[in-house]
Amino acid sequence: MRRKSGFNKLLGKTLFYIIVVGIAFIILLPIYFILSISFMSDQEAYDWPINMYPTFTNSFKLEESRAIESGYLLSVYSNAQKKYVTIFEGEDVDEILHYTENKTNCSIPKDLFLEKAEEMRIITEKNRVEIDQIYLKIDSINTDIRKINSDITKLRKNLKLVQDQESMQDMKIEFEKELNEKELEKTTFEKELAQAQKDLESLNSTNFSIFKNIFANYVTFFQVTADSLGALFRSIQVALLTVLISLTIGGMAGYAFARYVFKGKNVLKLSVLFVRMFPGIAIAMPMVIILANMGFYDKPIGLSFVYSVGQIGLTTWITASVFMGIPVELEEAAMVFGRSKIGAFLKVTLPLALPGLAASALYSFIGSWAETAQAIVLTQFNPTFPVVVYQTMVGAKGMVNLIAAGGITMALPAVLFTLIIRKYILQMWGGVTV
Amino acid sequence: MIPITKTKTGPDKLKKLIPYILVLPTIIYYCIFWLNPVVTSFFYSFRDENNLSWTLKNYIEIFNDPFFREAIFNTAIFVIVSVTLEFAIAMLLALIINKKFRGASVLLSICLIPMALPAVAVGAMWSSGFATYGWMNSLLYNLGIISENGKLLFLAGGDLESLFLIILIDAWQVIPFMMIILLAGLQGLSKECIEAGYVFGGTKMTVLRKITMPMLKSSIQTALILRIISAIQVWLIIVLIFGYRRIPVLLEEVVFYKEELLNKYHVALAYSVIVALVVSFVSIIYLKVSGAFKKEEA
Repeated sequence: MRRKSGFNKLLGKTLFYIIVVGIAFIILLPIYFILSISFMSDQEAYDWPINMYPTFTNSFKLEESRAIESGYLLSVYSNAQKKYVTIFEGEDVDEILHYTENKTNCSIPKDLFLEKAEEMRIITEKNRVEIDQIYLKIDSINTDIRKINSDITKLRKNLKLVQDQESMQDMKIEFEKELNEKELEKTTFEKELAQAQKDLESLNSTNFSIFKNIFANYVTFFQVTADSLGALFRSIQVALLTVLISLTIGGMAGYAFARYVFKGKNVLKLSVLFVRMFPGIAIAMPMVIILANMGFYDKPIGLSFVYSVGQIGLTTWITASVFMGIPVELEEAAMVFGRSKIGAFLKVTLPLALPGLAASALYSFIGSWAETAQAIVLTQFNPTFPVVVYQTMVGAKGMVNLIAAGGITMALPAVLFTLIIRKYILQMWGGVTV
Repeated sequence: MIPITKTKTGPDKLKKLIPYILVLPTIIYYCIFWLNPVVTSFFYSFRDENNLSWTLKNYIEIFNDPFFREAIFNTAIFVIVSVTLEFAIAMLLALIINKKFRGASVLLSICLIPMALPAVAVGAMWSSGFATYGWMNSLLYNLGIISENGKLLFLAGGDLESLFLIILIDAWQVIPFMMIILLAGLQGLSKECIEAGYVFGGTKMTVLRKITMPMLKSSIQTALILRIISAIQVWLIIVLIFGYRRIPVLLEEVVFYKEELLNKYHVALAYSVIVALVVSFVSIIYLKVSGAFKKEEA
């Protein structure tokens, strides 16, 4: 027998935990980011690079507008770019505040804004001469940078032209040298510009920070997408109806499978499995006509009829194993003591089966809550919530943070319920043989 | 139990009927909401759009559609690559993790999350991730892997690259779950057999190949075929990330014909019949392989 040395053992253990943590990390990372983005304001979500976490307060900088007489220039600190970025330039205070709220999810009280504006005016008046000097400097640096930029573009173009030509290697080297010089020059200018702007900051502006409304996207999602509250309500309605249908019908079949031996049992078991594996879309497509004939098209009940087709199989499967776990002797004992068959079931088996049945109910709830594909085909004017999120995603590109908020709203109950019944799910997949 | 011979009496006959009464609702339900739509869609797939005459036009239109060949090709690639990739990685991880360790239950719970996420949430996650200015590039930039101008254009790749992106997204969702199924299978194996393998001088590799894998066969079959069946039906995540007709697959085309084109409902039905046939074929293979047909009523 080989014996591992202590060091090897430790190495093995460390490696093992690295793999385990790695798996958990890869699974959780995208979930973390979507959650983080769902709390971000437009300004944060469209910043580059996106911040690795959402901010909870925003720092604002208020200064005098140079373009508009007696106007304001409001900027917000961007964590990503490590500097203040302009939000709005204008003179109408209400307009500024409204726009800022949309952009940063911060509602600045008007009193505070006016107070800060007054403060800013006083400081600016006091430092007028210095400010004007710095502005002159900034303008001249900007002109220089613009010139260098155009030079660089030209050089790059020339470089591309001579790139592949053997005979022009000398020229190529020369161009490259020149390009490097220019780029170095540019960074020096940029540094100067940053310094000048920093000097300016203490002279002409006031700062303040405001708590961000981090749930703003969730509220906005329900405001901007048409009928999303109604859709949320319908989704819950569909899910509850599906649970009701599939638990009654599937539960009865599950009990029969668990307790009785009868002819055709195997065929039935096979058909339940087969129906479960049948593509949902292939059922949803013709259901458009059938539900329309029944008068249930585009109604929650119609949708839950379709969902139940798949869910009954699953419920049968789960409830059968639940009932199998409860000894039939208990029921028989109750019958010996004078209970009827139904009484024995209600008083003995059902209470014992309740946790398992609840798990099965939650499972079909999640199933129909999250279902999107069939709902896309089967709804028209009364979509369920996932369809609303889908339409927002496919229809309106952009609005990343709003879509993230919609997606999280969708995911939260599904994940929560799954974790509640994880024991049953693991059990179910533990015995995956037919 | 020892069978007791009894003469058939009234209540006994009734007792025999109980299981049939219990399964009757399921049978009726399946007839109305499964058999009925299946027959309906088969029927209408052979009727013209105005439901006036019998026709094969719907099927001919599909077979002549250049997107159909593309859809078959893409679906096939997706099934083959994703199932192989996911199974290999899931099996490897399951073999590594197959021991008792602290935090095992936490890891299992985490592994359940991706499967529990609704499709739209997964779509939102990755479409914001793979956007040029999305979190994936931001993360790589912050880690110093790419430069400011070196942003990766995930969504602008060619057809095959885009398909592989979808395969990766799908792998993220499926591998943890597949790992759980295989892990459950591994933990159900008898320890004695494996130990015996080592006692008789087997190395890790031979024990794995000659003992563990054959014993795990039924778990593997179940995991693989269930996975193949759901892989054939991939479409929503593709539409959520790339929109319609960028990477055509079978079910995406079905929904495209129904939702995005006018007066093509019967063609869409014919399409769905084709997909249903393919899936049913694989399902029957599965039921056959798993021995469900042979099993006597127990």
